Amino acid sequence: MNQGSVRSPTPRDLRIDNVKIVEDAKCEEKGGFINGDFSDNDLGWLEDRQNPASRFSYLQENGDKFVSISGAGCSGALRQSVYLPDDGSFNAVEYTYRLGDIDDSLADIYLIGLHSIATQVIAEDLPTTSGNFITQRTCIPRQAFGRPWRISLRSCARVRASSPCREFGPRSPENIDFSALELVNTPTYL
Amino acid sequence: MQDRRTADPGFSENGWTPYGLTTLDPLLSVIDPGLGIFGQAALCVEDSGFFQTYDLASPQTMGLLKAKLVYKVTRTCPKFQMNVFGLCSPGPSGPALRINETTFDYTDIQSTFIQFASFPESQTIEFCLGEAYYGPQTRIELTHHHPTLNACLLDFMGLEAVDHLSFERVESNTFECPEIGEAINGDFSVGNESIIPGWDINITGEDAVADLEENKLHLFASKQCDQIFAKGKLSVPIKDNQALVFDYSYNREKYALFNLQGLDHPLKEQSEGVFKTCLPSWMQGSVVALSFNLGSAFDEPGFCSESYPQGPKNR
Repeated sequence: MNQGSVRSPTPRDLRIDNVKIVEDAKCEEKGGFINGDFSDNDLGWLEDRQNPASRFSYLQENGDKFVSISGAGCSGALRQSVYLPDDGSFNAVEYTYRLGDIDDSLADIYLIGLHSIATQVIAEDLPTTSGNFITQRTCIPRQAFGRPWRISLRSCARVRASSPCREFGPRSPENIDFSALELVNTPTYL
Repeated sequence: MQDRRTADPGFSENGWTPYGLTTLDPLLSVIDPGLGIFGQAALCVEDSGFFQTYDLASPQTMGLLKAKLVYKVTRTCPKFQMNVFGLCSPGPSGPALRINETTFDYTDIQSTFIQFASFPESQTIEFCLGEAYYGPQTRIELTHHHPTLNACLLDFMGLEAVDHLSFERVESNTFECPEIGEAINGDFSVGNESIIPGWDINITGEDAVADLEENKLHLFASKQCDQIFAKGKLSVPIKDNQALVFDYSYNREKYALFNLQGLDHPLKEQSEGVFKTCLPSWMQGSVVALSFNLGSAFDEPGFCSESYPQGPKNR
């Protein structure tokens, strides 16, 4: 049998209509990002499908909203295209995150070139924060200015040998939580 | 307003101003005299390119315009830099356009990945002009996508050259370019079962179907490996707080994607729903590509397999 002739158990049927542009006040960019404070559950951030193992959930604790990401093997979870102007208005990315205190929980923030294979690392293997939210800044590499990128938030939780196929819940010790992400101008740019 | 379209479409030294480490060579040519060259050094620095300013009346006065760009990318690649597909990576990925320093046009200027390529064939692309291209004292820049730092460090040799950039009028009613602020045939009111003006349809699979049903785009795949792409164009206006919306229905949880200028997003099961996504400010004033993809059901039991692209690091 030809590989392509295998009939799918359920045919796939997609219908599209009314493709148009509308004005939406919620699309305002603050600090370079749309919904950079993750206050809206369905705005700005697109689901990354590089690895189907990734999971994310918008959660709230004590009135503060954040997004919680998990997934084995460095799966991208959320991404958004972002323009890094070279007019001096921004030179760093400020991010607020928390990680548990177990050593198999890691996370990255990457800039990945649109329509090219270029990659710039903003943060890699973020250290544990013992479960507390902390704010960090990373300077944007000079060569990234003046171009749009997609920024990718990734969980890199290592899979434990004892339970390599475990299901990820909405929030577990392996998760990384982001509560804010914005472009800032820091005077100590190097 | 005076209509002065881009001067020196052939890059012969009297219209374009080089910046960074680019050079103009009036003697070299592909289709007309003159070549704008991004040499290895130019590709390694943060910003290199060519610019000029021009005056162009509004689209209401001028009608819609499209551009024709001719360029080529060459690369030589040490064997240790080749990937498993025999391609050289990373390297130059083709020129990019920037308008008035704010609009970055990511028209389908794509890489030319050719191993050991010395002088591959030139590439010719045509693309629609968005709102940013019109008006007085419009600054247009031809630059490159991203600095190829790895290439510079690893003895990689690359070269990009632009040979021609000109504007021409789009015939009306051809569904070739969208009006400012619109998608071409976005309400699917024009077309029939076999022709959907303004949308490029690409089908893999004998039984896969892309047609219009009750003025809706209808993509249908019954076999696991069937794939359908429906690609359209959207002209993003120069206004803040813009969003793209469309109505859709889908009967499965996976395999359907919406893609906006290189960023894709899954469309999940929905009987009658509206999808909305904000349009980032850097798209303002340009014509961007959007597509709907009904992908292969690669993970269902059977034979059709597909691997996910690797991320920047796979641990």
